[in-house]
Amino acid sequence: MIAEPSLRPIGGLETFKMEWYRVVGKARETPDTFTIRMKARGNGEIAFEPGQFNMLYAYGVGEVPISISGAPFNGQLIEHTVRAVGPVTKALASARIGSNLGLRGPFGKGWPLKEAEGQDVVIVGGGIGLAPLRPAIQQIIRKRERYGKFYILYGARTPSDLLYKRDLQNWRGRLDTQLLVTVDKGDEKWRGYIGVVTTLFRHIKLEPNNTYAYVCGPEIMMKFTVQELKNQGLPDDRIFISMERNMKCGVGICGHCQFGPFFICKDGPVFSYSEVSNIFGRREV
Amino acid sequence: MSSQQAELLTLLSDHPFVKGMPEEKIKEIASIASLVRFTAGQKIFNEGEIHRRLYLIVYGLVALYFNIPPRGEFRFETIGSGEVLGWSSIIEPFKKTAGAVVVENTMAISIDSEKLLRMMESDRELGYEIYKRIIRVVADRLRAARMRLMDIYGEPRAGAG
Repeated sequence: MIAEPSLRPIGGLETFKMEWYRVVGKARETPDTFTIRMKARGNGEIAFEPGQFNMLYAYGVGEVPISISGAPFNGQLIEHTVRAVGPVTKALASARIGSNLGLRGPFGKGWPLKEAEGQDVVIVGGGIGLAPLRPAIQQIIRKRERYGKFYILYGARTPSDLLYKRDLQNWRGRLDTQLLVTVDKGDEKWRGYIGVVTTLFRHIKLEPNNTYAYVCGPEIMMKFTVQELKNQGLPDDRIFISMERNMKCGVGICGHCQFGPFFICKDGPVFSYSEVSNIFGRREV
Repeated sequence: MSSQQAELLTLLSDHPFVKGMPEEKIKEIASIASLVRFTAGQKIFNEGEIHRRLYLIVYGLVALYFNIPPRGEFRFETIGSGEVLGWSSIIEPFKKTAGAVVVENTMAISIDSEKLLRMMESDRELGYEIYKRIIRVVADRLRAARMRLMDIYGEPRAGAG
């Protein structure tokens, strides 16, 4: 269940306590990306804020930070979308249904959904960056009457790289949500937009002082998206981005994910652009 | 003025490409333009072809493509409502830099580019205004092409470990 504010005490030994979750479902999103559905072994509800991440542990291989990508049904299930690129993520991706994975979390600061109530929201995702945005989309749709206009802009390399194809169909079918999807390379079967995700802004009209923007994707994609949002007149404090570094402890102790004066695991991963504009896109920060 | 001409003038005046131009200049452009409709799947022009029309899209979606044997059609950009298709019709050597195929049924204002060029030649003020706007279109396409080169979705995000 998606919670309003975060609940787990930060710091102390509790932070390092890992719990075992059972893999109850797995969906192949793209050739190397999977959504893993897990269930807590107890009966407790899983609470988190959209935009937060967990540390997932593959037994005997290691632990990696993975954004929470959804929470279906009764609050006892949680989803993470993993791209198999290294040993741990490959081990997570190959976990069989019925097997157990370790989980610590949730950690960090999520999308400011409460602040955006009564306002328009534009969500911009690039590639696998749609994963941390998906719980925010689910929450906005669940409480749709609390928000104004709602736009989802999503870009990927090719049609086969698009995540959550069933969700995309459902969101596209809603009369109260405008979903625009684009790919870099189309083929004769693709009937949608072709071009980078920023070109989708040509098709919507934002009201800059009444809109919150949540952006997630590789940093280069976020850099161009933020530029476009600023061109549209959005103030820095209405633009939110989700940063990623090599998070380890999850609570700002180990320093692996330092980002200028911040620790992404504790102060982020979601930042207002006004907080990070002077360090975003700079090397060695 | 016939109802067709009136419709053309209204749609032309509302199109972002000419918006803000003096009314009499818009009327001049309307005099060498017509409304055209294309159906999904139709090819509008081919790469390398000399095609003497400049299109202002009213609604619909058109994909630009290269034919790459043996891979076939490689679609790299779509042009939709409020955008310009076929800028190379008014820039030497007037050959199409890419092919155009209709993705969704499309309505466009089709401008005779030979007549437009003659008009721009004799009315330098209009010529400057049109080229200024065309440069914006070309710059937009160039920016998009550079971004594609960077492969902005390429970096792995979640879990490189």
